[in-house]
Amino acid sequence: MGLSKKQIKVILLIFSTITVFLIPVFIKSQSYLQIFIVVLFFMYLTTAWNFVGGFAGVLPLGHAAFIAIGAYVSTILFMQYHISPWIGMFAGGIFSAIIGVIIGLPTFKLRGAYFALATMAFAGGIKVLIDNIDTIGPINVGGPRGILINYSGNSFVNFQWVSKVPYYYIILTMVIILVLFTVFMMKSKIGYYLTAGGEDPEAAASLGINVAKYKLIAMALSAFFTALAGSFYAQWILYISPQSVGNMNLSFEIAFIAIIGGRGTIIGPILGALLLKPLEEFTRTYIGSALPGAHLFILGLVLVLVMIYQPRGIQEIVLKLSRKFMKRISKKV
Amino acid sequence: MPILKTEKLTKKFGGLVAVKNIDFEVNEKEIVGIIGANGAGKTTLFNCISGNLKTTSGKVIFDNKDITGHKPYEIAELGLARTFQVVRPFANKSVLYNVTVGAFLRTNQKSEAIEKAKEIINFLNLSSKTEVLAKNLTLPERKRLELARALATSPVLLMLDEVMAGLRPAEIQDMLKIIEKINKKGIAIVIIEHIMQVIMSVSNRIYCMNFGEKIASGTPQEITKDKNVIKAYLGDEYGIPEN
Amino acid sequence: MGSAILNGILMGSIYGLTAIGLTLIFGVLKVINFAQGAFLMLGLFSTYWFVELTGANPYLALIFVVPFTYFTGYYTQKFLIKPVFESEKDVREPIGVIIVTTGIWYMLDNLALMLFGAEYRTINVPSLSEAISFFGLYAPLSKIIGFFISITIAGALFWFLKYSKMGKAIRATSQDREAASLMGINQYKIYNVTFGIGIAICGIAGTVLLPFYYVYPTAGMHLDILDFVIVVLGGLGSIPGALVGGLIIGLIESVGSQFISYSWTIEIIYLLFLVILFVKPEGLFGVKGEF
Ligand SMILES: Nc1ncnc2c1ncn2[C@@H]1O[C@H](COP(=O)(O)OP(=O)(O)O)[C@@H](O)[C@H]1O
Ligand SMILES: [Mg+2]
Repeated sequence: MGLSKKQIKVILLIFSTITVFLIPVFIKSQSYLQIFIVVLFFMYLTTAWNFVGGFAGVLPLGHAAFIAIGAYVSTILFMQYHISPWIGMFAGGIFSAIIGVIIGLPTFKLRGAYFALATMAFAGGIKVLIDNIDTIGPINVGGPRGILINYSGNSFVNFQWVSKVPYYYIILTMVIILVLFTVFMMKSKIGYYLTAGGEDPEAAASLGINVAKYKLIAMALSAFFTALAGSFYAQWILYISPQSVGNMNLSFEIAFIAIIGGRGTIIGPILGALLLKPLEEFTRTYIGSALPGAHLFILGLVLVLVMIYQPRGIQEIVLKLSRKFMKRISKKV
Repeated sequence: MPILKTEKLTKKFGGLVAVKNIDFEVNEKEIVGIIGANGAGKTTLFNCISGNLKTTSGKVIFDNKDITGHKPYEIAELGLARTFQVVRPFANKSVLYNVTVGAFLRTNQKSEAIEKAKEIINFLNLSSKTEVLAKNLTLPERKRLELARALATSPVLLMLDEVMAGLRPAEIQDMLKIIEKINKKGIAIVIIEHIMQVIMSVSNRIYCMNFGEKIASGTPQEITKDKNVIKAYLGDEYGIPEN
Repeated sequence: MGSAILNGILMGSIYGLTAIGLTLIFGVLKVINFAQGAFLMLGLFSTYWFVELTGANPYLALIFVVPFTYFTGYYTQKFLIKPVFESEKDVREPIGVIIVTTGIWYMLDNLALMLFGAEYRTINVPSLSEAISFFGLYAPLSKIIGFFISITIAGALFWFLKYSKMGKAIRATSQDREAASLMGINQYKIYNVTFGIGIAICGIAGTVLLPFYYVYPTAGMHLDILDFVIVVLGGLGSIPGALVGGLIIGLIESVGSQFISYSWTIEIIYLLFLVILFVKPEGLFGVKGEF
């Protein structure tokens, strides 16, 4: 009795989901678990970036600004007003979405390179702003020194745990929700309209699509979800600074990983993070002290090679291989 | 009653007047042809009507509303659809996906949009290509896809920019049949062609443009006898196909 | 105040020089070279090593730096950028080329980090850092030399584009790719040469900057951002625009820092940049068109 491709897919999906959920049970080392959290964290960020950078067809290079907004909003609310980071997280998300729309309104009129430059300048401006401000009225922003978050031991309300395991499950849940959201969105009218506007704005407009409106929706969603990751980061690391959450390299890394994986596809950014982050952690730990910068050099090199030889990202290769593999199993089983 | 009307429509590109003082009318359920040599200003006229270009002066009235200066998507929403001379399908998406995008204009329900898209794909004899990516289609298929996508927006008026250019005679006949079939559904159609003969048989009325100006208008019979038209088409007076 | 203005003008013209390559490449290829800053860093480092190894006068380094950076640029375009360019020919919003140049930026910066480490290096030429009188105001000799080199290079480039055979071919290509190739001009050859010239100017800018500047792997980053502002301000593709943009930025920086801290002047520059992008994306000297 042979299994259909669909059945194999479902089995594989269930199997990998179980594995992912069981990782903390088998991996006891906190520092290894930390790597898994980093991978998931970037999966989440690249998937959120993909709303604009992939589906809407432009190149945003300033997403660190949204991470910073999320991190700072929830942290300031928590530290100064004792509001649970869970609530602060959504406050940051909404604030970030509003900023996203405000910045999107003028920038979406710009073409290719100009849009990339505008988002870069916007993020640069936000970082320099935080760098320059210690307080806004009664609010302590911390300037370049950043903010150290009070540590109170295990507490769900405070979004703090001694062990890294809860953080693992939280970011895993966030990734799953975001990916499901993306899948449903791309199968709905919004997804169709966004894709059409990204592929050819003029042809899309002739079919009655208000391209700018759908890009703004994408931007708002992307900014919202990205900010949630910022709040998560703050509670996970318990320290934020303009350098750690607002810096340009972070913006670029998110974009690079998503592009290498395959922008505009759902699987691309996930694969990108899955393959590149461990590689990066590996190069950093093993040759990082002898050759600092090696991991970023590799990232740049992979990016250039992918753009030349595989412009639709490595997802294309992986999908091809997995199709071959599936054929083989479905014959054997 | 005219469904579309332009009044003294003018478009300048720097010093070049691409469209000059054009008065143009399309009645409900009519098929109107626009002919003229390459560079006569036909596409520019379309672009001004559909909002893809800003008019320099003059007015565009559609369905009794002044739509001059409206955005292309607003005009499409009102029921005026168009195709592009250089077809622009969403290349990395399937035929069904392309047409469904068009169908979404009148519904938010995906199942409804897909159903309508399939119907139109059938109507245009593309059903064997439903799942094929647009970039893998042949030119005649792409032209039909372009038409299908526009048709899926449920237009009142459909403007076709050289949908028959580059097609073989048999394919042209197919396309003409499709155009008549669409028209029978009550949709008014404007067709641009630079070869006159092609649209003789289907057009109720024809406008002829030359260097941005309207040099003649009337029934196909009147147009073929018009002195100005004959002069403009000197050498190939019946518009003998170039290739 | 007077010497702040003088310093602003001198520095501004040198900023203008750092941006000329960017604007030239955009004018012809219609591509924003995001690796601009990294190539400036390359110019700084190649000057640095020339001086360090030979002990020669820094300006003598030009005989090595110019050909070295020219060929680096030439072959970067030929082997890395061109393939992406070609595959994107029909894409309406081509961003692959931006991505490639960003990747090159990361490669160059981190290659420098791996080879030379993160420390700040500089050459010490006392005679060049001496302040001398210039129209009654004082400025370091190195900046005054830099000012004259910048003006000369801008003028020479302008002349080259206008009167030389290659320059005319470059301009023809920048105005209409198709028409130029119909005239028998090899479009991609022109792109290689243009990229080479653009990067060679980065090399010259590196030589000009080094006597009063530090070099380190991310030295180009700050200049990168400034250059984007400068070229957009002046109008992408316009060479006089780059000089004027450079002057404006130089003046904001030096005069501004008389009143507010340096990092706030950076904020002002970012803000100015965003305002220009939104309000007048064609810049001061650019052509109105599609943005
Ligand atoms: N965007 C544009 N910018 C400048 N000139 C244009 C533009 N579009 C068309 N033209 C010019 O306007 C004239 C009419 O072109 P077009 O409307 O495309 O002619 P047709 O469709 O009748 O062949 C031509 O001379 C053409 O070169
Ligand atoms: Mg035409």
